[in-house]
Amino acid sequence: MRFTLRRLGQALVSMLILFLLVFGATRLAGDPVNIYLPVNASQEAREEMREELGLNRPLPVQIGDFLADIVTLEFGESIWQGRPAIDIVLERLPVTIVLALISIGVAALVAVGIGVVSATHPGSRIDQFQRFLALFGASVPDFWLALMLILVFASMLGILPTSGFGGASYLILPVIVLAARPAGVLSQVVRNSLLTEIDADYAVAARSRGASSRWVVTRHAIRNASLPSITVAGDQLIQLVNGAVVVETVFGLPGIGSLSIDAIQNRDFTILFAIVFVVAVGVILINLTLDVAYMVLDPRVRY
Amino acid sequence: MSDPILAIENLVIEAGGTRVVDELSLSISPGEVHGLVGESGSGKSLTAASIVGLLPLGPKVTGGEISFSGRSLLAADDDELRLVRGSKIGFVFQDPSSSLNPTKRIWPQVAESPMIHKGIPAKQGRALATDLLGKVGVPSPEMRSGSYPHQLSGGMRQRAAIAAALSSEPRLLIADEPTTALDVTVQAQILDLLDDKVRTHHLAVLLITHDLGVAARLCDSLTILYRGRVLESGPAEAVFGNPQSPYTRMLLSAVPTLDDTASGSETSGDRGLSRVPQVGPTGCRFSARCEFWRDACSADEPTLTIRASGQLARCFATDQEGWV
Amino acid sequence: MPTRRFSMTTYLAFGFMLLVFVMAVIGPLIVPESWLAQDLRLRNSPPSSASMSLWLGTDSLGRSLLGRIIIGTRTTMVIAIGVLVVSTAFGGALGVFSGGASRRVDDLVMRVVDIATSFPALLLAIVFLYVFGSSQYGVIIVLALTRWPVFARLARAETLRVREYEFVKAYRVLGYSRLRVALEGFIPNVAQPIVVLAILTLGQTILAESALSFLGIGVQAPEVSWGLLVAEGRSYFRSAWWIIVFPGLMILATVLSATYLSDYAHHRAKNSNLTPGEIHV
Repeated sequence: MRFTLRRLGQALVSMLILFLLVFGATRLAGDPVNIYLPVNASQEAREEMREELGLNRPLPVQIGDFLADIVTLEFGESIWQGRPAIDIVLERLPVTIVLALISIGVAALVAVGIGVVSATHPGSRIDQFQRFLALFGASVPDFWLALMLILVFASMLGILPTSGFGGASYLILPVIVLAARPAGVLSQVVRNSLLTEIDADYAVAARSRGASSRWVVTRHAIRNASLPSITVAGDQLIQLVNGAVVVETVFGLPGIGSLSIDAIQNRDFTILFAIVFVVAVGVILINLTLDVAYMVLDPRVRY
Repeated sequence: MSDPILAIENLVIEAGGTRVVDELSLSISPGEVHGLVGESGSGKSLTAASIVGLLPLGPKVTGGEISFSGRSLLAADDDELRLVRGSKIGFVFQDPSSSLNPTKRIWPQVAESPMIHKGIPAKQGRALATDLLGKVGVPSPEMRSGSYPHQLSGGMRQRAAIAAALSSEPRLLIADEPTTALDVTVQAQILDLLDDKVRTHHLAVLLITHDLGVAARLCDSLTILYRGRVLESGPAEAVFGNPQSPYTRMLLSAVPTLDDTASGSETSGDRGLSRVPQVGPTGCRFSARCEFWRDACSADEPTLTIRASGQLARCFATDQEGWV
Repeated sequence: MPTRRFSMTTYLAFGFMLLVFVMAVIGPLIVPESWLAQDLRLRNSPPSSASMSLWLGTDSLGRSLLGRIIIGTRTTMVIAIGVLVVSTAFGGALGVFSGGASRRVDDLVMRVVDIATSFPALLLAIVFLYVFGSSQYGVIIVLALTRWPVFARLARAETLRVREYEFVKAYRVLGYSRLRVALEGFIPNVAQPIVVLAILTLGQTILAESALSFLGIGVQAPEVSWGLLVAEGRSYFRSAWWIIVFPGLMILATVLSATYLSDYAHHRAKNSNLTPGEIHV
């Protein structure tokens, strides 16, 4: 319990540093007022904003206000939509979460399947496919892959919808695109960590007691290989936000990824910052979940 | 001596084009502890691994025969070997902190062999493991059964490993440097444990070690290995009492005894030689470090000949027409 | 013993990367003006063998797609190299410093690095682009900001590893200054993994830049970048699919080559005979 609290504390400090960095960025790149106001704003609008942002106050007070605002989830009103920014973000959040979870789930299933077969049958066709998958997943431009899939499946074959959000079939192509990279990376990690465990001393010891390869893999290797694997899986889940920005935009899904692009195009910094906050919280939650998972999987961590 | 349970004849193991084990022969009978002694790189661990077909990638058996209870092990395929491993031949490894899976409790590893071979269920396995742990001298066995390896001391871990190796009551136990990774005080306890098991179960043991002190304590017979070649082998009393190979003498002089003075161990063993021996592809492998070396040693390699005290040795110098 | 001959794929990947570099340097010089001129009569023409400029078809303004792809190579590569140089220099220096510094300093630096690497890079890039503005240099700065932590982490890990080597301690005993130890001791030994990461980064940066340009917040017209070309083709992607397909293939091929080469270099190192402790006299 204390261990978890300590990690939580560290995570909060990290978040703090992140927010301060963003704060610094807004102050360093010219007049902060420009970030919040449209380019052609009048002088009085500027003065008003200056007051509102508290730019005339001493720096420590500004930072204090900034942080206090975050804690109270006060991200300001979106100029573009005239509503509290945080509301807009929270509205669009579920779509991204669903998309991300389904994608990482698919990627994990594919990766474990391919990774295990690849490790237990080195040199086989599946093994070669794994290598190709890892290379391809890491190299393919997601926006291009998305467009290609739309071209083939939606336009030419007409079997899947091109865009929008209206049910499961609308998620098939986006999930395929989003899952490509994590599937490649994860299959590599699963394969490599399994290979390491299969050769470990305790595996040889198990074999000396009469264990078959299957016994060694299922009763020993998989458990130990899962530690590095879930670490990478957690990291890939976080990185899915990157892919979501592109995928949601191309497929017209109303998530926070496409929202971030809308926000930039409408010069709405309040929304952008609210998205950063929400994602940061997500990162913390994922890391905490990982920590709990470690404690379950590796008895050495518990004591 | 009853019929040997393990018989190795002229075993040859090659790796990367060279012979890392070159015509090794030995046999062990039930109740006999046979020591395979040599430095690192002598091929002793590879020999042990080859008996149960667990050689790592690279080295391959290219000659000789290994038979267990009369049946050839080298001719057996992996499925047949799996039936033998654990149930008929048990294996204890050097380092119990790596030979036990750190994320699994002790009992499924101790009971692993019976669970594999006889398919006994978990509950029974746990009870069996607890019982076995008690028999190898682990205190509070119920608690230890459910513990994880990192919660046990080195000595207890090795006891657990021995319990695991003996769980299916094998006829032969191969112990590869079982005490090397342990504290000196614990070493003695483990050796006593092994000795006890040999007596109570009429176990045959192949003990791999680099430490002659350990060998002296436990072994009824020995094979001294140097760079893949057997230099001496035979009953323990013969080898220790009247060592015929200069290598054996060198190993013996390195074992500390009560008589040694502080600089005692410097008076024998390798030292600067007045004439530098030529080391080539022919000749005795021990030439470079031998205190009795002469030209003849590099010209031809001696063969194993039987000596007066009853052991075999490979050395020109100590042989009948030799100069020692 | 690993054979010294390279496989067909390695030659292919290396050759392609070389081609890309060459295109980046001389591309804008050798592409004829006529290819890049707008000619509405030719708008959205499919690939044809009629003339070289039409091999990959034309875009919505009748410009040769092949020509524009070649032109775009320079922009993309300049950004990629720029990001590489900045993040390697800054990240590498910081990493080596952290690895050689005291425990407290090291912890602090690594804390910052951890935050930077755990947060999704593209999102951070978007925020910074908003603040700094979208332009070729803005993109370089922003992407470098997201990549330097990876180099810092690697450099630090390597420094910690090499720092324990005997010969490094020997240098210190001999009285070499810290700088000299760094230059002659660390750097030759940490260079190899950094090169592996650098090649990989080249590929990943191209991906990131093209994504940003595609989304409209990276390279801006009239500059040309492969990602931008794909974006331009979006409106016509059913009728003039080549406008999307070919620039995208270019990105894919380049990044594939870079990723493959980086992988290859990584595995070569494991098999090489270079012992990490070689003293560079």
